[in-house]
Formats: sequence, structure tokens, C-alpha cells
Amino acid sequence: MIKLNGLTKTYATTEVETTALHDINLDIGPGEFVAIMGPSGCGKSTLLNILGMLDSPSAGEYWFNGTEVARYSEGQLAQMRKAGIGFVFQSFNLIDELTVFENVELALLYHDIPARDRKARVQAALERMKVAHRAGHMPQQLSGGQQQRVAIARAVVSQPILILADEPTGNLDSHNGEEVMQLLTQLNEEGTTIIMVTHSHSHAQYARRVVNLFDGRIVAENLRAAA
Amino acid sequence: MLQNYVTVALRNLAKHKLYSFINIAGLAVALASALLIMLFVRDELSFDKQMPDHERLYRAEATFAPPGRDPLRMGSTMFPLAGVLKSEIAGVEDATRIGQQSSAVKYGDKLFFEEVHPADPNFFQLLRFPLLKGDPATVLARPNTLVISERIAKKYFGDEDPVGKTVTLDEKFPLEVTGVMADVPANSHLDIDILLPIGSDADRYYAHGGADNPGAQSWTSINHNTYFRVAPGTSIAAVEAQFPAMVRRHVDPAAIGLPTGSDAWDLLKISAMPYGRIHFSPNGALAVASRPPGDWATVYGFTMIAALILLIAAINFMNLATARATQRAREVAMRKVVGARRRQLVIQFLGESVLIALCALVLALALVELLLPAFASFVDRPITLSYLGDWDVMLGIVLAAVVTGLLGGLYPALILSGFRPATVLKSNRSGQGGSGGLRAALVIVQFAISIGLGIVASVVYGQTLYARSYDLGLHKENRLILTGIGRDQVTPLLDTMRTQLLAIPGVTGVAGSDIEPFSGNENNTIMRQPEHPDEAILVRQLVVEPEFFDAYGMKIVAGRPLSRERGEDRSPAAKFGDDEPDNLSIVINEAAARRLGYTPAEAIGKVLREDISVGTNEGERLRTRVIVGVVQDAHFDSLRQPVFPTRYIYNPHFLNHYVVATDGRDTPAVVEQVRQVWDRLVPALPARLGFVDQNYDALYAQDALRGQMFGLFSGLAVLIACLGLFGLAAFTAERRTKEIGVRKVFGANVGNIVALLLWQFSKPVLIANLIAWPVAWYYLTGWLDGFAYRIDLSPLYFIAAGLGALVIAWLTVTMHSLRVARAKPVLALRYE
Ligand SMILES: Nc1ncnc2c1ncn2[C@@H]1O[C@H](COP(=O)(O)OP(=O)(O)O)[C@@H](O)[C@H]1O
Ligand SMILES: [Mg+2]
Repeated sequence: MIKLNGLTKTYATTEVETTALHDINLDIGPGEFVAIMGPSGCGKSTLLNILGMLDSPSAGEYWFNGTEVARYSEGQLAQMRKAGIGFVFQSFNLIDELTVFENVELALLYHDIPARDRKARVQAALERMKVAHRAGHMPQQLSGGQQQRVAIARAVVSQPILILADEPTGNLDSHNGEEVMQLLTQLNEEGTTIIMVTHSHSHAQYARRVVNLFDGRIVAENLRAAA
Repeated sequence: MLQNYVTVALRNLAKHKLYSFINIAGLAVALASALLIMLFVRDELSFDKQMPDHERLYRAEATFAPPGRDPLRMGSTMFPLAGVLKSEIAGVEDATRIGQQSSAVKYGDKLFFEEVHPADPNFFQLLRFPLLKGDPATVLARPNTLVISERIAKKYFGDEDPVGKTVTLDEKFPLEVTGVMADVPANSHLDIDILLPIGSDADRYYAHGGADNPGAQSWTSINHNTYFRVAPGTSIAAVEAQFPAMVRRHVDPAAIGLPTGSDAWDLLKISAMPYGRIHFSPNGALAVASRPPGDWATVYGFTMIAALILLIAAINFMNLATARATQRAREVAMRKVVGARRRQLVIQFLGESVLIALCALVLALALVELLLPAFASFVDRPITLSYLGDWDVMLGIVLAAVVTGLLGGLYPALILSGFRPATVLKSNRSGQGGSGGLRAALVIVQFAISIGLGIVASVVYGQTLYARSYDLGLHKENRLILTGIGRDQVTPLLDTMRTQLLAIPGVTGVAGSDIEPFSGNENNTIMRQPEHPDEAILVRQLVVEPEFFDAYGMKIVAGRPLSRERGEDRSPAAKFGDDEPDNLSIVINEAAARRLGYTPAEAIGKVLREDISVGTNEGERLRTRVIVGVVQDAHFDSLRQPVFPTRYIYNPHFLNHYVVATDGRDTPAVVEQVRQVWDRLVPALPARLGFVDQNYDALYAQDALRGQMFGLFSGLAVLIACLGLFGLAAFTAERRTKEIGVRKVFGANVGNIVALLLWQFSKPVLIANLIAWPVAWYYLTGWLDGFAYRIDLSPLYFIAAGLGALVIAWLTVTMHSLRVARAKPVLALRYE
């Protein structure tokens, strides 16, 4: 489903040129659950952003479902994203001015779905993440764990084939962290491909494959047996 | 401590360049506009205040209310009034008069036409314009003397001492210069350079027949301004209370065509205008020896605009300051953590904001220095600014700047300093500080003001265009006016002059008349239908040559024009008050036919009676007139007035102006040749040439000036409001970067994002329209009602102004939102 060939990303600022990713080659099949690990600043978020088409690589190939998207424009990327990628962020990235319900609904707003269906799907996603009772609240009125569950609801409501999660448990206590991991595992079992960045070895255990990054390069890949 | 504040303030200015620029530039332009307007208004208000004892001085004013037309308000009054005030009215100490005539003034080889002013000998004792040479008590005591201004002294005498020299008026009358007065200040309603005593040989009004001259006795002939001084401690109300009885004593209603037994005070009211307020007198337009008056509407209007411009800039200031203050929450929190107290923080924010305002003030002063000469010549007033001398205005503008600065700083100072540091630091967010609603309300106010000003400016402009292009019923283009053909030396030469003028290539017609169109002068007469002898009909009268209608392109709609060949078409009266035979031919206009109740065709052959003694103090003398033609209506005044019923008669003895119609191909050449014809025939007098369309434009000069000034300053107001919106849009786009990023992550495209922001900024503009439209409509309905001929208040003006504001808002916002919307979402998310 995903194939990276010699993918490189450099950031050119005025003084220095940072190479955040260096000649990355990676294959990820449908239904996989991949954890990406590595020290701070090694390029994990950069990799995830490129995989999520929020950013473009500087060189190399990115095949997504048989299409090479490395040179796509922002408009084309937006189309691809819409078609099948959901995102979960460490800092939740909920919009403060919108209610929980509206935050989740936002992921369907740009999808040409009739309002009735949309509401129903949002309701279902909220129920599934056990935050339906908070639908009318503002994000700040929720605990961190609840906020992240809303964010996951938002990621899944559009029924993506791929979910990208950048340190989804990074801002959560261990109990809430576990809960989020359970939810992701469940989604993966239902067939959604999941790529997750984490610092926690125990959370990495949930994944069936761990990719270790160091200084923009893949240094190790461990496959583990299905849990 | 202070240094730390200043450092932070300056770094903030430098870091947020757009924000600083908008704040400083917007406020600077607003302060500069306000300062210019303040200088203009102060100049208007300063009129005549420099006159010593002006609190006890008044100008008598007359208001005629003839039946059947709007009251005629005049700042000039009848000749006998001054004497009557002195002898009959308790409380009046002294009174004086001043008149006006155009005379050819000659000294040596210098010969020019000047406005000269016959005045009573006590003139300089009442109106104490400083004399550089001569004694106020005696300078006008002897007839045939002259007081001139410094300006005129320089023009005719150069460095010579004028006193004792003899000047010739109108080629006939020698006058001895007895005094020199300082030039009358530009902020005096009186505009006088040359004065001679009333009763001098050169005083045209009084000289013929002296005190027995019918004009000098008449209470309906208005030619002089009358000023009077009351005794100290006199209440002007007590003086005015004596006026009705005075008018009833001196005016016989029957003699002026009113039914016997009617009240003279109903027809003619005399009032007293305090000297210091003459410039704003509603009677001011019709006064001799005077500058064009100002009006309160203009003063209030521009004061209002200045206030609105300042308000718009202050709103920008507040909006941007509050918007950005939320981004500084962290700095505030840190300062609090290290022990800053709330009061210190408040002072810091206020100080910063006032500092910015003062920067803007400095820039504004530079702008004013730069623009003042252009502005002064634009408003045609000698306006200057000296920082020390004009401390009152300077204080006002500094205050305006400081208050704006304080207002801008107040909200963020109070809100931010009230933040609890823990919330700000822990939440790891800037928060938005709850001021979004306030900002939206302020933006609505700004746009409401801008839209309102836009509507008003475009309607004012529309009416001006309409007035210019309105079919006046006469051709005013390519019509040259040659003035002075009624002079004794010229009248015998008129036939020759006509022939020679008509021989000039390009001249298509020549015709004389007593009054030229658009000069503001008018003569009225009273006519009666034989069937209704009791009904006096007030009719405008014009003395013309038969070719007059042709020369102005006025169509005869029934009957025939006047003719030189028919004896009954020509009045034999050689001077004012002479008798005339019955059955002279007249032409009337359509308005007169309507007033008489005839269709144009029916009017032909009808007989009217006219009182030919009007304007003299004699009893009624009725003569019959026969209507031989009806000519189309033509405007001889501004469009503020309707076309009056008018009667045209032919009399070769009362002509003052020739109109020379040309084909317009080579006007300068025609002008030159007309001048040559005049110089050949009348070498003693300089030719006086003018253009009918220039006279017409002059009628609207004040309106046009006001319109342009209004347009200019409303344009500035809109510009400043846009600047603010631009800044706010930038801020919003920035503040919503994360939200936009998230939306994009979840599938929004550029179009979705731009639409989102456009809608956010369209809402306030739409609401602003709802506020601006009724206010503008209310104001403009009143304004347009002042015009007899006016445009309709079409909804298009409102829609256009509203759409204009919307488009401007969109353009401003689109620039920002496109930039944000196009960016890769990852940039937005990294923002945190
Ligand atoms: N927009 C950017 N501009 C410049 N450098 C960047 C940018 N984004 C990331 N980097 C650099 O790229 C490297 C990898 O960053 P990142 O992918 O965020 O690391 P991680 O998520 O593994 O902590 C870091 O050195 C970071 O400083
Ligand atoms: Mg990271």
C-alpha cells in the first residue's frame, strides 16, 4: 500500500540546511500496524507528515496505492488525503471554537455527505469513542484523555484506510494512554492500516512492526508476532 | 525598569511591522485629516471676532416674504434704515451704511475696474478697521475723498504716499485720497478695499438727485449694508422688539402691491445679526461688499467627519492592540511570575500604546506641514499653522492622539494584566482573550461609518453632476458677457458696437439685458389680471433686447418674440421711475403663464396690469401690458430655486450686459476681438468680460468645494477603515492558522478556506449596511429637499456603497487567506 524509495527531506533555512530524512526505503502493506521510534529530532514527525501528505519530500519516490505522489501539488495532495487518511496528533489539535460534535463533523464537512448521514456518522463515532455524552462541550472542558478520544473519533469518522498517529499518547497519563492504544488496536483489527510514532516501548508493543529512526535514517526494523 | 519597557515596546514595533505600520500610518492620516479640518473650522469660526467691540455691533438684515414665493433673505437693507434706527430706536447708539459699485479707477497710467464702496462718514468709528493713515473720525468727512487699503495703495501708488493724491473714478470724478487702511483680514465678512463717502459725486446710487432720489427713500430697494452699535448693557431683544412698529410706520402695504389693511411686517421683517456671527447668517448670500458666507452645516459636517475619522483610527488602534495583546499573554504571565504588579502592567501597556500614538502624531504633523499649502489653496482660505501661536489647536490634536492611545491600550491593559499567570502558562496556548465579540462590534461601527460616508459622498456627487448637466432652458456654453454697456459714455455707441461685434467671425448673436443670468441679482414687479384686481402677482422682470431669446437659445413656445420694428414693443422710459404708456408688449415665460392660469396659446393677447411705481415711494401707478409671446422656462438662478414667473420687456435704456453668442470654435480669438471692439469705441474704460457658464459654475463653487472635501475625507475614512480591516484580517488569518491547518488535514481545499474567512468578514459588513443605510437615507432626504431640482434617492447608491465595502473587505481578506490557505498544512500545525 505504501512504498518509499530513497525518500529524502531537507529543510533549508537561511543559515543551515537540515536533512531531516535521509534515503528512506520502506514498504507498508494494507492492514499493518507500524510503530516508528527514535530520539527527539530524528525525523519521525517529518516522515509521518510526508506519509500523510501534509508535506512533500525533497527527493525520492512515494507510492501510495500504486500512485507516485511525491511531486503532487498541494491541491492534489488534499484530494488524496480526503480519500483515505485519518490523523491523530500528540496535542490533539482540536479547534477551541468548535464543540466536540463540530470538531468531529469537520472531518466530513468537505466530503459531500448529506447532513443527515453526516450527523449519524459523527454520533456513531462519538459513541464508539465513549464521548457521545460530551458532544455539546467545548474541547477545553474535557480531560486530556477525552480530548484524544475526540481526536480519534475525528480521525475515524471518515472511515479512512490509513490512520497516522504522531505520539498520540505523548500528552496522556498511562491509564489514558493504554485506553488510546486499545482503541487503535481495535481499529487495526477491523482492517485499518495504522502508522504510529511513539516514545514508549510498552506502547510500541501494540504494533506488529517497529521502525527505528536515528538522525533521519532507518537503523533497525523489528517484526514481532501478532499479539 | 523603564528601559526594559521601552526595549520591549520598540522590539514589538519592529517585530510586528504590518501591525505597527497600520497603527501608525492609519492614525497619522486620521490625525492629519482631523488637524486640517480643525484648522478649517477654526478659520470659519474666527470670522469678525477681531473687530473691537463686536459684542455691541449688529448688522440689520431684511427678510421679504412676498406672497407666492419663498422668503427672500438679505444681508443688505434699505437706504433709509440707518437714519431711522438712530432716531427712532431706543438703545441704538449709532448706525452706518456701506454700499457697492464697480468703478473704473484711474491714477496716472493705471486704469482698472474696482469694487468701490460708498460708506457713511462715521463708518470707521463703528467698524474700527485700523487706519494706517488718517483719522477714523474725519477720514470720510468730506465728500469726494477716498480711503484705500494698503493693497490698493501699492497697486496704484507703489512706494509713493497716496494721501493727498487725486484719483479719477469713472473718467469723470476726481477724489482725494485721505486715508489708508490696513488690508481687511481674510476672516472678515466685509471685503472692502476702496471707500468713499456716500453722497460723493461718484456715488452712483445717491448722487442722482441726492436725498430726493426715489431709491434713497424706498423701503423695498435694497442696496446697502446697515450696521449699528447698541449702548453698553442694551438687550438686543429689546431693540428688536421695536422693529415691527418701525416697519409698520415706514412701509405702506398698499404702495407695494399688498391689499390695503394688510400688515407690512408680514411682508418685510428686519432683524439684528450679531457682528461676530454674520459669517454664518442665512441672509449672508445677498449682501453687498461681502465675502461668500459660510454655513453651520459645513462646519458641523466637517467636525463630524473629523470625529468619525478619528473614531475609525481609534477603533483600528483598539482592535489591533487587543487582537495582538492576546499573543502577548505569555510575556505578561512571565512578568507576573517574576513579581510585576497589575498596576505596573497596566502602565506598561498604556504607555506603549500612547508611545505609538505619539509616533503617529509626529508623522501627522509632518503630513500637515506638507499638505497645508495645497489644502489652503483648495479651500481658498489663507490657513496656516504655527505650533506655538496655535496652541489651542495643537493642544486639541495632542489630546486626540493621547486619548486614542489610551483607548487603544486600555482594553488590553486591563484584560491582560488580569490574566492569572498559571492559566496562560499551563494551557500552553495564547487563548483568545474573549475580545472577539468586541472587535466584531467595532469593525461593524467602522464599516457603518465608511458605508454611510460613501453613500453620502456619492449622492452629493450625483446631485452636483445632475446640476451641471441639467437642461437649464438656455445655452450657457460659449456665451460671453460684456459688462458696462449701460454707462453714459457707452449707450450712444451701442448700435455701432452691436454691428462690429456681429461682424467678428464666430459670433452668432449679440443681445443686451439689464441682468445677466446666474449673477444672483433680481428685479421683481407686481402684476394683476384685470379679472382679479385684488390679487398681486409677484413677477421677476427682465429688460432685454429682442434678440435675447435667440442669443440664449430659448424657444418661443407661443406667439412671437419682441421686435425692434414695432413701436409698441419698446418702452420709452429713460430712467428709473419714468412713466410708460399703456399696452406695451411683453413676453412671459411658461411659469408665468401657469401662474396666471393660461396655457401658452391662451396667454397670447391677454392684458395684464403692472404697477410701475414699485421700488419708488410713490403710490400705485398701473399700466397695461399685452402678452405677445410665451418663451420656454429658463433657470437664471441655482437649481436650489424653481423657475420664477418672469416677464420680459424691451427697453434700450436699461441695458447693462451684452451677451455675445459664439460658435465656440476659437473662443480666445473672439474674446480678443471683442476686447478690441470695446477698446476702440470706449478707450477710457477697460473692457469687462465674463462667461455665462463660469457664472453658473461659480454658483456651485461652494457646493462643489464642499462636495470635493467631503469626498476626499470620506475616502480617507474608508481607506483607514480598510487599513484596519487589513490588519485584522492578517491577525485573524494568523490566529486561525492552526484551525485552518486542521481543516486542511481533514480535506478542506483552498476554496473552502477562503470562503470560510470571507464569510467571517462579510458578516460585519452586511450588518454595517443595515445600520448605515437608514442613517444616510435620513440625512440625504433632508439635504436633497433643499434643491428644487434634484436627483432621486435611488437604492443604487446604497447598494453600490454596500457592495463596494464588501468588495474592499473581500480583497483585503482574500490576500491573507490565500496565503494561509495555500500553505502546506504541516506549517500550520508546527505553529504550536
Ligand atoms: N519546518 C522545519 N524547518 C526547519 N527544520 C525543521 C522543520 N521541521 C523539522 N525540522 C528539523 O528536522 C529535524 C526532524 O524534525 P522532526 O521530524 O520534528 O523530529 P521528531 O518528530 O523525530 O522529533 C529536526 O532537526 C528539526 O529541527
Ligand atoms: Mg515529533
